[in-house]
Amino acid sequence: MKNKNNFVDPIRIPWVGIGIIILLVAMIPIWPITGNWFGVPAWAVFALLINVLTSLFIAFVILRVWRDPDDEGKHDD
Amino acid sequence: MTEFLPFGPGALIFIAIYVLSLLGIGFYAYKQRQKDNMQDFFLAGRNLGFTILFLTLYATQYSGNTLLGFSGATYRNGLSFLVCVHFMTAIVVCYLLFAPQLYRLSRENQFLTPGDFIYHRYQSQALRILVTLIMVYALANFTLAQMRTLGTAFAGISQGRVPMWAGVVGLALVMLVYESLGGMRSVAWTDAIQGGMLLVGFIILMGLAFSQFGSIPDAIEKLASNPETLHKIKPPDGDGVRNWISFVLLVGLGAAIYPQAIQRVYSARNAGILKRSLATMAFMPLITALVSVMIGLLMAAHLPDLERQFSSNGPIPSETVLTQMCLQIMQQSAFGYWLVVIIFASLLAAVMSTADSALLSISSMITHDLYGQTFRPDADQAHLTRVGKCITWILMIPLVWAALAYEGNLIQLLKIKFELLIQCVPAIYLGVHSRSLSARTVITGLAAGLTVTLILIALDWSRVSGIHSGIIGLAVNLAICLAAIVKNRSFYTD
Repeated sequence: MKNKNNFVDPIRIPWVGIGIIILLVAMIPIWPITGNWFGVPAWAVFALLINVLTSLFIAFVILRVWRDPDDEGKHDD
Repeated sequence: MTEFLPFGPGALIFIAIYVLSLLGIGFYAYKQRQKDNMQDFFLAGRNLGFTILFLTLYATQYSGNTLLGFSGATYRNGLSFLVCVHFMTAIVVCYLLFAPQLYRLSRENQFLTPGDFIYHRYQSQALRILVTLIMVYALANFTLAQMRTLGTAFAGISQGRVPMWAGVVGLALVMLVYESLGGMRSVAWTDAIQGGMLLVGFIILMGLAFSQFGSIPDAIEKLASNPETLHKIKPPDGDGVRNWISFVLLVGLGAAIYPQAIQRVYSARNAGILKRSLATMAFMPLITALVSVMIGLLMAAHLPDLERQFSSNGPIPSETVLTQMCLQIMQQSAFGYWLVVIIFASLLAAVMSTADSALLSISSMITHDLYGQTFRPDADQAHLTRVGKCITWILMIPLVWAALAYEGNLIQLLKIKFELLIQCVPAIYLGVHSRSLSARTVITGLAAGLTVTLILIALDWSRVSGIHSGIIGLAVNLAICLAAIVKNRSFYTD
């Protein structure tokens, strides 16, 4: 995962892979959720909430877990 | 989109100024060039900063199809097309599977194209050519569809005063000029403007849709109360769920390895900038694809009979739901009219940014992977850069011709581009991680995957129980590659 060059590939960290799999499975509209939430079918709101969680998780992994020796390059705008 | 939009001279002048300003950016990019070599021309000298990299990734990933196709598909299928938000998010998830390793390798080995990685990893010119040809085919289809949309759009807004051929040729010339002047630098800078316009367009659309047609809960109530539209708010059934999973895999895995996307990974100034750009991209489906879904839903509730109506060209297709919404808005006030002009400019921006990126990528792969490596391995960088520019112009001739002569029998070929492109998935996704995967195994898997996919399509089974034929082909392809990895008992490279 972390080598001598301070490189960390996030996908080789077990909890990252497990997190992605759980979120991708949770996105699939197969859960027994009925009725409406906020006037919208609950299954759709749930799928969307999982999507928001996935975006947050991916952004966290990209910014905090992925490490590259080239991280500290020249700063931009 | 613009088949029925009555744009006046003021709006046409606004659009013309926007298109001509792209030439100015191309000229500025030409003045900013640093070296006369392929790295500078095709990768902007690997020096793209956060704002430009993020906006060019955004503009390249979201095409005119996001605005027109997604809203039309939601109009037809209802909430089950919420899958588009998921598959656009899946693209960023898929970047995470290979981009960290690929970026590191690209810095160490100065990759220019996806083919460079393939050759570096497998030491096989045959595999490099095979992967390049599949990618060129997928991108040529992509560009062709965008050119056709450009021509239709211009013919529409000019009320037929600008014929479709003139729209296609004119906009193709503008793209060729700014692309030849500054290469990736021009494309990325124009993409940044186009991506910015696209973002503004989506924000305006969201506000307009709610003010014009009310809230989503109101639309859901309307859909539920009409027996003909009730199915549009139901969750997908068995076949629908399988199709949902298949869509997420097909687009997520496929779009992440579009060559122009990979070349943007190579073009980042440093890893920090690439990471910030990709992290921001993770949220874009929520303010882009989701807006299209909401427009489709609102129109399905308020205009449920659209596809039963007829225009002078026959039945009105569901892809025109956005046009119908814009038409109603622009007829109400001068403010609404100009908002629709901005939305149209953002649509034009979406189409042009996707087309120019694809064209530059095709040109780089033909020049570098096919011409440079196969026929002229001794050629210098200046010569190859000149050839790259010539190839861009030459390529545009058949693409423009095909866009103008596009007939029904080409449609099937266009639809299968993703199915073929994802057969390259094992070569890249597994290749960056596994040291035991050989070129022979990858070629065998690729050939098997392509064969299964094409046979299924030839038998008119483009979907089997909701699963795309390309995903079935990929399963065979992956099984071959994974079996070889397990047999050699080694997965990770150092």
